[in-house]
Amino acid sequence: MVAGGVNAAQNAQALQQAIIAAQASGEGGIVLVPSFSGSITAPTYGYYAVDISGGPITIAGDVPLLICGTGPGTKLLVQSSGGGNLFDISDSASVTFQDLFVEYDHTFSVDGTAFSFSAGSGHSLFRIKVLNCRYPAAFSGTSHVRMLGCFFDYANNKLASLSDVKAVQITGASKDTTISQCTFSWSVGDAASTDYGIFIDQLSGLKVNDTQVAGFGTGIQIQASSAATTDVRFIASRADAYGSCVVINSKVYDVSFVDCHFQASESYLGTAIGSAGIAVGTDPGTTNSQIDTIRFTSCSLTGNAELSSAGGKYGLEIGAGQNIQILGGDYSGNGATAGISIVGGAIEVQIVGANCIGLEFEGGKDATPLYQLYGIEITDGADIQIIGVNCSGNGNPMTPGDGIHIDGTGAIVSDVRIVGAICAGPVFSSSSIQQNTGIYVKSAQELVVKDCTLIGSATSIGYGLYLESVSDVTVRACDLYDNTVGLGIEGSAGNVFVRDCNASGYSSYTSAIAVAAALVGIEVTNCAGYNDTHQPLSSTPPSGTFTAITVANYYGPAVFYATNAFNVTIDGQMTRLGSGGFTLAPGETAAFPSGVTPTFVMIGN
Amino acid sequence: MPTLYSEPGVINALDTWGGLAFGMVAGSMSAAADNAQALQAAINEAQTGGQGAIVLIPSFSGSILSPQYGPYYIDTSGLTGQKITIPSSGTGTPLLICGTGPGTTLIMLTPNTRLFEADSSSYVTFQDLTVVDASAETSTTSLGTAFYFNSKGVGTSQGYKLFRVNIVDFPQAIHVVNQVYDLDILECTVSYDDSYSGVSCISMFLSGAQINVEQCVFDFAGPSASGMMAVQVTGSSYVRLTDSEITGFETGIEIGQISGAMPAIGSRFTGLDIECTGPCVSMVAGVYDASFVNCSFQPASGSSPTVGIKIPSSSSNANFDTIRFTACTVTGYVSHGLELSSGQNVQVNGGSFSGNGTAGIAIIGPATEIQITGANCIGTSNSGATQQYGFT
Repeated sequence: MVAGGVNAAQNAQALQQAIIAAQASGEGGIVLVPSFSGSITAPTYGYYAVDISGGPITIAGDVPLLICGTGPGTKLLVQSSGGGNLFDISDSASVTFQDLFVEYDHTFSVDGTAFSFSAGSGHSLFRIKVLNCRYPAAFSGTSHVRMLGCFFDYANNKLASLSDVKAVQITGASKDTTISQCTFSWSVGDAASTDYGIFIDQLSGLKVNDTQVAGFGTGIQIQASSAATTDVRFIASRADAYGSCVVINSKVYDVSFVDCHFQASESYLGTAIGSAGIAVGTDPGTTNSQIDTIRFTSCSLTGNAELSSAGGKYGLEIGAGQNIQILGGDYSGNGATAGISIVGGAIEVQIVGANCIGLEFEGGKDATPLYQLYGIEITDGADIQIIGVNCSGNGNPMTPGDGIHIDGTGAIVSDVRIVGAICAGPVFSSSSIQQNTGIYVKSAQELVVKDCTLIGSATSIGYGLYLESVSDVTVRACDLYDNTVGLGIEGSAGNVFVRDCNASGYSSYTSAIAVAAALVGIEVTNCAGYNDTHQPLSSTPPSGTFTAITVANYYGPAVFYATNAFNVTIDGQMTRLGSGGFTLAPGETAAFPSGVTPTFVMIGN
Repeated sequence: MPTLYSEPGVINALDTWGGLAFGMVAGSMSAAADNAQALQAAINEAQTGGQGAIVLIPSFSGSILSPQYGPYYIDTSGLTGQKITIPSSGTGTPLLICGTGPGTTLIMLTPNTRLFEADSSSYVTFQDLTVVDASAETSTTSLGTAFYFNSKGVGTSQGYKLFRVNIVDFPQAIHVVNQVYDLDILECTVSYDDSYSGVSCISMFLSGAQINVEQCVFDFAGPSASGMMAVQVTGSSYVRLTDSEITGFETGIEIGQISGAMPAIGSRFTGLDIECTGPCVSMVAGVYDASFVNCSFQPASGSSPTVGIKIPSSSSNANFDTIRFTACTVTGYVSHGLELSSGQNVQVNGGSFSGNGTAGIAIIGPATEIQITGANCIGTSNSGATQQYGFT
């Protein structure tokens, strides 16, 4: 080989022959590509031009090889008008590339794969830099492959219109791949959604540690166009993207992200190509069983902050899927919608200990506070546990927000457990943010809200908890004070049981817990601020069969005192008593004989 | 120009470069000044063509038939700035400066300066070297630095690497400043032997972006750890410290906005084992989005520090924002395992906080938005240490 930008075709042939020679003994060897040629006393400097128009440099056979440069400056410049693969490694074992710099000359073509591995095992890329190549590294059907300390970059503006870019692609049932301390960077303008940092399609066993993926249209795409992708781990890695940082599509199982950070790319406010920060199961037609066992542990996701007028989307969007866990982590500053959303029918979702406070941490990527409308949003999903989350401070300067927003209109939202959530209105003295509702629920069934702090909803229609058109709902031991209305129940709600809550401090029990008139199956018991107001509900004797609800729109137990009633009927049973105190549990009925006008007073209990 | 050992792409430091009459010589203290000049000349030669090269420092000199064993003594007092520099050549200066195994040892004799300085360079790797600061071990004034990585423009220098490098008795072993980008430190050891009585120091100072430190050991075995700090992270974004061990220092990791630097954003600490005579983790104002996962924190043998992890009081809770501890263990402290005097958006997810005298987790200031989920704060730790409260 000769450095200095000459002999491109011969250089490719020479390197091929060196590889063949190294394999000749069957024991392998080092194929050394010095950073300059000539002699030490008469060096020829410069890159090695390589023309692969005659075909790629191929490596086959189970002979271990170390193909390395003499330092990271050993540069191969691919100059082929049609592009093409530089190295094709097939059915071989233990081929390592080390300390090489490969660039595709964009004045010729950037198409092709710099390092294409198919089948074989034990390959390594160590301290490899690839510049301006559409596919720097591709692994198909390989096993036990490692990448360490590599840097793949797209840095020439003439690449800006490229699509279908994949910095690293792992496909074809590859097994046990490890990527560590690598950087994959797109820095040439607005990337398309089909420009990928890491593209995964059908593999088992992938670990990505301490790695950065920056600036692509889609940072990490995980899918299986056939068979399945399983056992994928990302640890302490970072992805920023022009679109989604992570997309998980169908036939993907057992994926875990630990201690990772995701955000919109530095020069964008995110979602510029209309996608979520992390999209799980949002591809149309995906069923729940096709995405199973996905975990995000102690991850942070922020910066998808464009407001609705700009097409902003969610932070983490869960469409279809099952057995999805979000454990700890921060999901703040994600714009028009929510930090975390479940919108496509997913089931068996657990959100435990996550921080979905609206404002992004103040050391964020820019000086402007980043907002989000909701901490968590659910429009379609079932069997969902939300435990110990903090969803305070959601909303944006134009629109008050909700801590948790559930609206199953047109879909099904059922069996949701919210325990120990804090939705406490504005945080960090942010005067421009207002919380409209701590937890908003519409058109949902089988809901438990327990041990939650739902305070600080101070808008004109601010609720601590709002329930509309719901059924089979239990609310227990929640703080509902310090809102415009503590709890509002409207629509065709039924079987709503409110126990042991603190709704104190309101001017009337109908502000503490406001129920639309004539709803049935609603009970409010042992709630401070409602059941203990000690105020007469009514002193007007009702006619016909009555309950506390029909007398005073009151849904707790009540006591009424009457004289001259002759014969009071309770639950259809005549008592033969004409005066005294009578207790009505929620739902119990009473009646006075026709034509009787007793002295009457009813008091809530 | 005698070039007995070099070949294209490999600049052997035993050869003579830059018009000098000598190359590096092992085992000779009297050759220290010459060795520094010879190594500098080899580095300059390797950069000549712009494509870089290996600068090879064999573990012994002489010839293979007549070897000369021993370390290479280095005296940089005759060099510009009294240091070996890897200057910028404009578009990057790719170099691999390596020994022939960890036995290739450089012993620094010049006090209070830098052994290597990469200043606005890029893609410089040091590999398979042991460097020792002989000037600092008993000096009360020498603040020597082994590797100093600088970027004269923010983010303009990138791709530095340290791989299998042992650094001994350098008060400032690794110093990264001014937004150096994409630095990897892998399988390195920073140690101070049991006779070290030099100045108090920060063994690794990190101010840059996308810095990975993985599978490293920081060990202080000197008689007094007072003022000794293993790692300081400031003015940085997304520094990652993984699968590493810190033992014997007074402070394990200090993180925050220090001495006018920018804040520390996005720091990640994963799989660390830290044992110190003071706090394992100490924060100063300006910490955002920091995460500790699967780390173990406990006192160094024979010490009785009061607090394991400390978030101090501050003028604003916002100075410590978005901090997570996931599946971490903090045990053996006199007062508090984890102590929060301020801060906001702080999460403790799982983990064990037992045997910490007064309390496993203590919130003693006006911190807000704190979530503690699934933590084990049982009083007695597996070593038998107890604590009065789980939380206070």
